[in-house]
Amino acid sequence: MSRRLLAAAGAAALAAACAGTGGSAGTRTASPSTAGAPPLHAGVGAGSRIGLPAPSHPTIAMRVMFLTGSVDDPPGKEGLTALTAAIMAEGGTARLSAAELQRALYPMAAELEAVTAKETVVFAGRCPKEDLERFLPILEDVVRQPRFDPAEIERLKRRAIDAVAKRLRTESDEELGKETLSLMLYGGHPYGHFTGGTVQGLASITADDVKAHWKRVFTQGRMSVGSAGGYDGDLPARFARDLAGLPGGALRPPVPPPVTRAPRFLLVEKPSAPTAISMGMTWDVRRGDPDFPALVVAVSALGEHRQGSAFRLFKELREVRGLNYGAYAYPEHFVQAPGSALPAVNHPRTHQEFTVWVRPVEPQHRLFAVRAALYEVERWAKAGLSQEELDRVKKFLAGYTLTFDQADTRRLGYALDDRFYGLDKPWLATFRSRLATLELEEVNAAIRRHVDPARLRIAVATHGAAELAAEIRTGARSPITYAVAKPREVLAADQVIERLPLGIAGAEDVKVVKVEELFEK
Amino acid sequence: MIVALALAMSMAAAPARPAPGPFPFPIHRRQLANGLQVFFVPYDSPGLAAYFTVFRVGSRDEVEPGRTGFAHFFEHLSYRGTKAHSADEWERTTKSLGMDSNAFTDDDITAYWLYGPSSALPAVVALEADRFMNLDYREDDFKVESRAVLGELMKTQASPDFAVEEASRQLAFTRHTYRHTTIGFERDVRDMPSGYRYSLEFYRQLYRPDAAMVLVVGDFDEKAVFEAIERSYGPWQGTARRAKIEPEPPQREEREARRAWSTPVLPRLWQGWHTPGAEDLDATAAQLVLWPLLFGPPSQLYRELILERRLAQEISGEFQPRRDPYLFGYELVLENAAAEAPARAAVERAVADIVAGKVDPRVLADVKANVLATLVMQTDTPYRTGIWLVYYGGTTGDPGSLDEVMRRVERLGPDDLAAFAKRWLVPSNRTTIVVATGGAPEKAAARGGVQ
Repeated sequence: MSRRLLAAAGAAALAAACAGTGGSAGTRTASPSTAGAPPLHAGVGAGSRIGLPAPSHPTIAMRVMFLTGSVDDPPGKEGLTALTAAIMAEGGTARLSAAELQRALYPMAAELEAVTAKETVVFAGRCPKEDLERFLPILEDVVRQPRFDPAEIERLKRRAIDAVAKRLRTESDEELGKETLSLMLYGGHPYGHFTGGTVQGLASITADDVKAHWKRVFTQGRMSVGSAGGYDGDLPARFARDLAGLPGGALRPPVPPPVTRAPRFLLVEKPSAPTAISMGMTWDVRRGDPDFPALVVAVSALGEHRQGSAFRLFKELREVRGLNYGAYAYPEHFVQAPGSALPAVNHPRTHQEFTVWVRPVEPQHRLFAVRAALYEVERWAKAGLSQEELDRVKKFLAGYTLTFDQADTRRLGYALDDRFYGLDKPWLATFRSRLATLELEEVNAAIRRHVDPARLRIAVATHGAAELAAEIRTGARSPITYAVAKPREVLAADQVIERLPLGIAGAEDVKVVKVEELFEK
Repeated sequence: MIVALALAMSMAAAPARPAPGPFPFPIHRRQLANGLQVFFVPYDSPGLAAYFTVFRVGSRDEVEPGRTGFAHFFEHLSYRGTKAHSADEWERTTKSLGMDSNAFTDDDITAYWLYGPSSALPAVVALEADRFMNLDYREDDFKVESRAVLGELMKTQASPDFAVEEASRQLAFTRHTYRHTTIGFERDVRDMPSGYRYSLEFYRQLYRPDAAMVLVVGDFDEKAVFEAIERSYGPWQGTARRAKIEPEPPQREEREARRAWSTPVLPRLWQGWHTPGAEDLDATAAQLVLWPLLFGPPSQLYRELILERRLAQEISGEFQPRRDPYLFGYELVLENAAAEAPARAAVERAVADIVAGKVDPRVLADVKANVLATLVMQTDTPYRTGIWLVYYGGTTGDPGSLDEVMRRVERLGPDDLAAFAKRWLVPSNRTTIVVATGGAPEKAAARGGVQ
């Protein structure tokens, strides 16, 4: 969703949906700055460097992070930053064509990818340590001397458009649900369009746009470099020196706090039956905020990502009721690292969110599933954790988070994120040490301070959205039946869940859009 | 206790392998008298270890009509508790130990893993041994869990790639159980609640020590962990009774099918050829090299289809060894429907070149270097290291086969590849699937749009 689109009131159904007045679902303006957190970006940009050598390790990880992301996409050119980064990483360098670049990396089994997020782009590289001298110049050239071959720009632009029009919209219900929620939370804000771009925004991008954008945002002033793993000496210094030819550039202006104006429900009409559900709200806490460790623990108890039935949402929705494959909750924007359940590194954000993800359910259970998730969130927000639950979750996180920075490339990623968040001490170390002293009352007080279930926005991607909208607007009951006998307490809870008020102020608090209207411009 | 002691006396301890091969870590092997194989891989990960229990059981073992998907379903059921430790207790205890945990099922294997503080290993060993020896779930829980499996199926149904996988197996196989995907046919998944007795039988027959291996990777006291394994798994008795899996008869004629997709998607073209199973280590090595040589980033096809002629956006389907003869295949995400014919012609030419022995020696050298370097790159944590051994151990019975295959990779020459391609990559042995947007009516389908 672009800012320009929102300015054109009524231009599309989604614009109307996201610019709604909000009603009783609550529209709260986030505070101007995150209250207790240190100033952002204290240690990033201006060629800052991180070195985490471990000379005995067999590979070397290298990352170049720029303080640029989809927030820098010009209006009408949504997707420009991600496309530029992809063209840099894949489209060849002054010395190597795209094909030669692939060929050069291949025998080393080296990794080189550009990951664009809302506020950052990271070029993440890794190679066996004996290949450093072959690999490093390639990674550096990707950043300092991209080829900008017109044929590659065209190819990658076309791929980016198809990724939205023919893949995001149709090939993954789960991604569709999550990205719809993002449109809801951030409509009208620099975070408010899909990071990969919009169909029309991408279509309007020219080769000149790409080159100009590279000069504007991939600059010294916005750059940090780092390395980790099997090297000796000051590799980051060499790395930074080699990239010193990039233009100086200016720092990006701060990202303003989001103001969510979406209705309580946005229902996306799509052809297939499995129904995807995501809900969430922005909140003004992040790493470095004194309340954040408590909230990470609290949200873990509610629904740690893919860790089973010791956590509430999974337990109640999947294990007790068999509604779906799982449901989870997140204290900050979550992207899963490929090949694991761990959070991906280098997706930091100035403004964070609390979200709940309910994996696809059968259509006949969709409204019950929405209510069941809301019921759990409301119960958690009101009563907080028990002492036993807190103790268990603390022990879990003390062990589990040890695996977060086990690989060099992730250790480096966390260190770069620490710089983004302006942290003097590493976030993971701070969090682990804080676990030991967290008390029940401060955890539950943090929930009370920061979570307001009435502020949750709810995205549902389904077939038969109009019927669902009618049920939500009328507050229709959504009873569930089971093929097996259930304990009395489950049935009693179901009685409450099936009638749970959905928190809408009126008919306008439920909008319906067709999937093809999303991510268009 | 007496039983356990007697078993302990009979353990066959093998010496540690002093010189690692291409796989960069030593593998220490043990075996209990009941047939359970145990593998230790010391890894420099202070205070952390990954613990795998691997069953050589997968969707390959699903011979019963109407019961596809049960190996995977059984993976879910393994979290439903024992008399000694309820499901809740298992979950809460392992999480209190700080363990990341999950499981996965494939054609040939089911693997359960926990990854976290090494100090938790003694407790983990006891809990894992208990659940695999004494699983005890009620029919009600069984039925509820079957709906989680349906949910897992639903999350993939919007993807044309899943439709390609389903269709390609169904067309390429007529007898062998590789005919169905691991998650199973949708009708069977929907009918899972009726299979309680079948599931108990499945457990009794296949979850036996001789069908299992335990693999520990990381920083641990090997002697203490082995003693814990002896104590906990030693009393496990029985041998796996496998139903006869029908071999797939040789394919005599080319097969092809097309599926219409009701929403706008990029067309998919998949082709695959039947090839030998994992016991043929030479064939595995040849396919590991042949796949990138034909379809990987250094290949002529990649350059032609993706970069130059822009007929396709992706080539996927990288070769993965299977226990029995499976398929050597590739999938193209095509730019548009018109790209299909020229893309197929290009693949024909590329295969013909290999058969004719036209292999660029520089590309072959690069591919071999990549295969070996990938072993270094993708063993950067104990968990990722374990995954290699889970697959090679699961498909061949010996994780050390990984080294054997890699040594064969190093020796491969153009003639070997030409001979392999000439033998297997022939049209009569080929199956083709195309999934593309078609003029199907827009109707809500639980099957995600496949008509």
